[in-house]
Amino acid sequence: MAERGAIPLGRDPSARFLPWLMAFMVFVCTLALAGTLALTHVIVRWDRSLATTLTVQIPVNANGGREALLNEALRVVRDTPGIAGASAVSEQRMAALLAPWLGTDEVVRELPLPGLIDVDIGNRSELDMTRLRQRLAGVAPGITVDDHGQWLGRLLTLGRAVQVTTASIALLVLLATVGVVAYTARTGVAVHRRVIELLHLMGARDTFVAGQFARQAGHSGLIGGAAGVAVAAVALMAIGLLGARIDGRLLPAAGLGLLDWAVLLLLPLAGALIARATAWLTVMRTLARLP
Amino acid sequence: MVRFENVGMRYGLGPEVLHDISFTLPQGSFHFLVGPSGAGKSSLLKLLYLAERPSRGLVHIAGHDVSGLPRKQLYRVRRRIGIVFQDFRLIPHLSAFDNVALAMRIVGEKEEKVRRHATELLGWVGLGDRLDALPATLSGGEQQRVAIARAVIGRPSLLLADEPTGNVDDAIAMRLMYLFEEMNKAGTTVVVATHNDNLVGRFPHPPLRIVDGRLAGHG
Repeated sequence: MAERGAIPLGRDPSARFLPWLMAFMVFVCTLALAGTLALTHVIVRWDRSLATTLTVQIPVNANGGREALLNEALRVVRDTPGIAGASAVSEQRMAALLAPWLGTDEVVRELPLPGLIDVDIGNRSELDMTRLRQRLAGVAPGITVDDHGQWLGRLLTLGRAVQVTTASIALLVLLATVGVVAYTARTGVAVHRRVIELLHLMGARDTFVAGQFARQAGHSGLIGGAAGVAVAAVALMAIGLLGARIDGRLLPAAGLGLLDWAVLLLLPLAGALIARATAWLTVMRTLARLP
Repeated sequence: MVRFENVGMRYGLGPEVLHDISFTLPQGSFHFLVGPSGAGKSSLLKLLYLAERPSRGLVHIAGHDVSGLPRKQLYRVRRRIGIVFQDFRLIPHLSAFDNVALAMRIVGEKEEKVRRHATELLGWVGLGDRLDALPATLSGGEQQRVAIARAVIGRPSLLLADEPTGNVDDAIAMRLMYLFEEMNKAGTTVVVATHNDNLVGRFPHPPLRIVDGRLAGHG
């Protein structure tokens, strides 16, 4: 004598299709959200690491000898207020940085390379960039100070554009889900009009009828969403494994944390709640138009 | 309990099928609704169980003027009405028990009470051993008893039955009529629509006679 729903909603062709559709929607949404989260972490990491550093570059063809100019520039930088630390980039390290692109052949090691100084500017509050540039220009013309602002700005713009795109995909998926659930609910009301009329004649309020549709839609959303997020999780882990094989120096690390996974695993619940609320509102509005 | 004043009714923009119907059914009364096929019995019943609204005139049921009652408020009156449909209108995928229990679940009764009452009532109509049976596996008479149990489980103030004896033999018809009389003695106003003149003749209850959409006699 288990209680069953008064309206046989699970047997409709449209309702049977709903869990599959919800699985697909949640799958796409999970990938889009995972992409957004991973990209956000990368952007934050770049922003944090590059906003507190400068690079001083002594050109290859500067007069006065590369080593002497490098040491003089290093002294000037260290004497400037607001500098937390500075160190010259060794030729070995530069060769290592270039190795992925140029290789390690003897001819590469003989290439003329500019002198580079890594500068840590801490919280940047005391540093006068104009004065630093003027003092370095006094060491040798052509010495440049790169605060990564332009590069980082472009990178952030690109990153945010990708974020907006993935968020738009998630929003479109959400709107499509709402549309499909609303269509399914409206179809259900039409298909089961006779039972609904009987329920009304027995004294059922619209909320009772809408509750039946909401429960069914929520159930479909949860089952389909759980399947969708499970498949997406497998896909993300596969992408993560493939990503781990690529040389880490070429691409920034873009992983998901525990909190990110928790958010992603909540998507089926969110899908179920959206489906439930959509079905409820659709049925209530449809019934309100009845005579 | 029920009061009709100059009630007219039409379906959509069609012709009027009921004309100037006026009558009063006191609380606790028992009436037959009789008349030839197509006379308007079903339309009058639809007005009584609020499946339709009058095109004109006033309909008062259980203290409410249902002619102008907002749609959202109709459920209050409907919960005081029990209906036995001619075609039973049982929900096919629900068991006999769930069909009867539905009437209580709709009004939000506690599940423990629902189970107790539905089981008791189905036992009372002789279906205590068919609680889990689906309507399709029940005979016409059994389906009708489920429909009656569903109609009376909420202890309605007004019980409406549309041709309740149409699908059963005389013995069961008489049992059903005695069941309705029991309900009536408990204070329920009962209206039974029937073609069965023999049945009407056996009981002393006044008939409402409909002919060509007009009330031809109100005993």
